[in-house]
Amino acid sequence: MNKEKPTIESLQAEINELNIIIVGLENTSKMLVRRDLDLKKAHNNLKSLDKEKTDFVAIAAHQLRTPLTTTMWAHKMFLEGDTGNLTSKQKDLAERSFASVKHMHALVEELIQVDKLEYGNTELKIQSGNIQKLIETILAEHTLKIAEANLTINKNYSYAEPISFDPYKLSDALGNLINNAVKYTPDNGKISITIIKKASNVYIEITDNGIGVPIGEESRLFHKFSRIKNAEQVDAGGSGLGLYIAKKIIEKHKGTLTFSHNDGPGSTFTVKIPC
Amino acid sequence: MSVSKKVDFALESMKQKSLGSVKVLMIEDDSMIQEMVIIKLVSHGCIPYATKDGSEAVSMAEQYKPHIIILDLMLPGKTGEEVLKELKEHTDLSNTPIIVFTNKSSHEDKETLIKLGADKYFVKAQTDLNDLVTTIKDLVSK
Ligand SMILES: Nc1ncnc2c1ncn2[C@@H]1O[C@H](COP(=O)(O)OP(=O)(O)O)[C@@H](O)[C@H]1O
Ligand SMILES: [Mg+2]
Repeated sequence: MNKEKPTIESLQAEINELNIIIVGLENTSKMLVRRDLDLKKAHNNLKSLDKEKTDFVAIAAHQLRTPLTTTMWAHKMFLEGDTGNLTSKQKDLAERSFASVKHMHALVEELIQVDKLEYGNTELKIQSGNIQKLIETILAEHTLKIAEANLTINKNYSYAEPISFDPYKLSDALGNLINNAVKYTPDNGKISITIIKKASNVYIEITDNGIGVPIGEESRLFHKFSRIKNAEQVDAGGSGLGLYIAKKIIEKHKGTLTFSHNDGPGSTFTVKIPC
Repeated sequence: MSVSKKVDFALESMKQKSLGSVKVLMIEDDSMIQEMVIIKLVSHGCIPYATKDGSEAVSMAEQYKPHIIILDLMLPGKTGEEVLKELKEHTDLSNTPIIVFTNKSSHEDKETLIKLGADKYFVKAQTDLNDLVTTIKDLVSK
């Protein structure tokens, strides 16, 4: 087919068409920029709403801290006879309200800890230290509970070299895991703590033969406030913040915290920290 | 062990640690905290003195010569840190043991105050008053 020689008119028509397309594209691009701004605005709004909500919780927690502390002290003083002897009815009531105020107090302390982890000065204060020692200190704090429940603690510390971590924060994280293992393992149960090094990571495994986690509930474990039914029967007052806090702290160490089922009953929580 | 058994156990161990006539000066601006701690200390035989104002701390210590000072950090008048420095530079008071008693819970705060000469650092919300009593007992028997 003979290609027609472009005439001035046909070129002009093409230019016009292109111009129309250009205008269209410009409009689309303007619209996209506007959309982008809208989205950014919406995102910022949501962010500040979330921050407001968190601030609200943090402020409430800080306000509750001192009154709950003093109420707890007062109950303890009643129970310990610092204010004179109680009748058995008074003692019974005081014991029960002491238990609930203790739970409230623990919840408030954890909320403050979460707020600090999310918004506070969260830099780790890294030092060289020994994981084994850290775990022994935590276990020492649980001596009474371990003895009361007649739990057996197996220790397999195969790696004892010093590594770098924030001893205060990591002790909080491991403390929460060990506290759970103790709490969610019935009397006469067994807890094993293993420290090993593989490649350039240290693994801390905390295994118990306790109540375990039902299949399908695993992913909820690490969510804020998340608790699983069978745990509620063991400890009605838990906050569901312990694992969330532990995971945050371990991730700040560029590590991971994972859960796995045991072959038999119970749970295993594994901390991996690069060293 | 039930709570009451634990409490009986704690009571038993407390009885062996009477704090007869130990003078304690408490510098604390929260009246509820102040009262609670004082009730506890008095029930263990302490003689309490207290002020809510940081700027009165040193003169009260000069006047009453306490065996122990319990010091809050956030205070009207003068901060606990300033009070601590003055006490540590004071010819007659520099040896009086000081227990910092605060809700500032950062480890940096703790390290700073211990470096400045505080003998012990307690975070109020995490303190069992029996531990406070035991610590006082340890510090005065040194
Ligand atoms: N060792 C464990 N064995 C069984 N379940 C556990 C264990 N550790 C944690 N869980 C489950 O994970 C939930 C969240 O734990 P955590 O965040 O520590 O909160 P809390 O202990 O206050 O309930 C618990 O309520 C429990 O259902
Ligand atoms: Mg827990």
